Amino acid sequence: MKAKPTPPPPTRKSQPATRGEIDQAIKTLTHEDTERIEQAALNRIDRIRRAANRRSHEDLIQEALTRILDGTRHWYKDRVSFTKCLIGAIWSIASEWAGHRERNKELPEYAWLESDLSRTDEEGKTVSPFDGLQEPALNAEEELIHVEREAENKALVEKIEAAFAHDEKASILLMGFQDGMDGPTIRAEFGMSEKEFRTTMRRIQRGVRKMMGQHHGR
Amino acid sequence: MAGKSRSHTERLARILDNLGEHIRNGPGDELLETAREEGRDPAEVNARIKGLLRSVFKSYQQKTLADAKQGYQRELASIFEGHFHLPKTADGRRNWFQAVLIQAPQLQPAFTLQNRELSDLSDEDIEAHLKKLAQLGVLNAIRLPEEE
Repeated sequence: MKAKPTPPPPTRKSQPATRGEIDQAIKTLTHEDTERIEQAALNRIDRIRRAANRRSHEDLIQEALTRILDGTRHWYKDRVSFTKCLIGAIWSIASEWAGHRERNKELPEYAWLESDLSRTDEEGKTVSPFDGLQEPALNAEEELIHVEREAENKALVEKIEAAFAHDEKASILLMGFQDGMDGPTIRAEFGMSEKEFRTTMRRIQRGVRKMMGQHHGR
Repeated sequence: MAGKSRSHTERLARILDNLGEHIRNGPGDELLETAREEGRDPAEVNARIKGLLRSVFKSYQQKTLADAKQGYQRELASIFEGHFHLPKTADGRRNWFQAVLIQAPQLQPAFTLQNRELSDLSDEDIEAHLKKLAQLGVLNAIRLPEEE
């Protein structure tokens, strides 16, 4: 049997881009690139919502570039475009912010959230949803936050579903996503063409962004 | 697609993650089309996002430069202030300077050949020269006499 040809080894090791190369990449960003960056950052802010702690999608973009400049993240220009690298950083930072909030609900910067969720008890005292959060087990306050968040998200999901109730293809995609399927799997299972999939995704994109924008007061 | 029961938080997350993946990997011309349909101007977005990135870049460059300058000044200050205690007396400093010229004779032209002998150098000249030598690290390489 003939041996499978092996690809030649790389001639030189990839080097992270220099600051000059990063500067040049920024200068040459196309309309498509900047649209992708903006939409990706908006999508991540919608995804983490309260964990963004009032930081905007532009804060997210700024932080992503800072991390590439200070070497926390690297851009290997021979492997991936600058836009893809920046969006990778945006996703990663958003996940980090979401994780930070989960671990630090009692910190002052989340006070606005506390005030949002505080309520008054029968005796007229303000009850903070974060009281006693240092206890390791899921306590009543954590449960309250969980319940509030779940209720808010239920309303959003129902609103999205209702908006596309008469759009069969969009409903199929939305149900599939909620069920843990990805685009290619749904397309294959429901015999959806690439074009149908893309135009439906655009409709969903527009509708969801509008709803999330209204929800955030954007 | 009944599937197992999922929380609404998870359901919403999955919808947004799939939309996010589509933004990451979908065709660029469709992104532009979506933007126009939403009434946004891709040229305005381009100018704003580029402006934002360039301002971050510029601030970062300035901060790096300021940090480097501060580091250099700290280093200079430590050379002048902390690391070398010159002899307290003028004679002691003259002895040190002489030791330098003897052990590193190649430096003599730099200090004494400007039509002057060592004895012509003032105490202030010698102190200034010793500070320079300390700054250049020369004093570290010289066996210096004990101060009397």
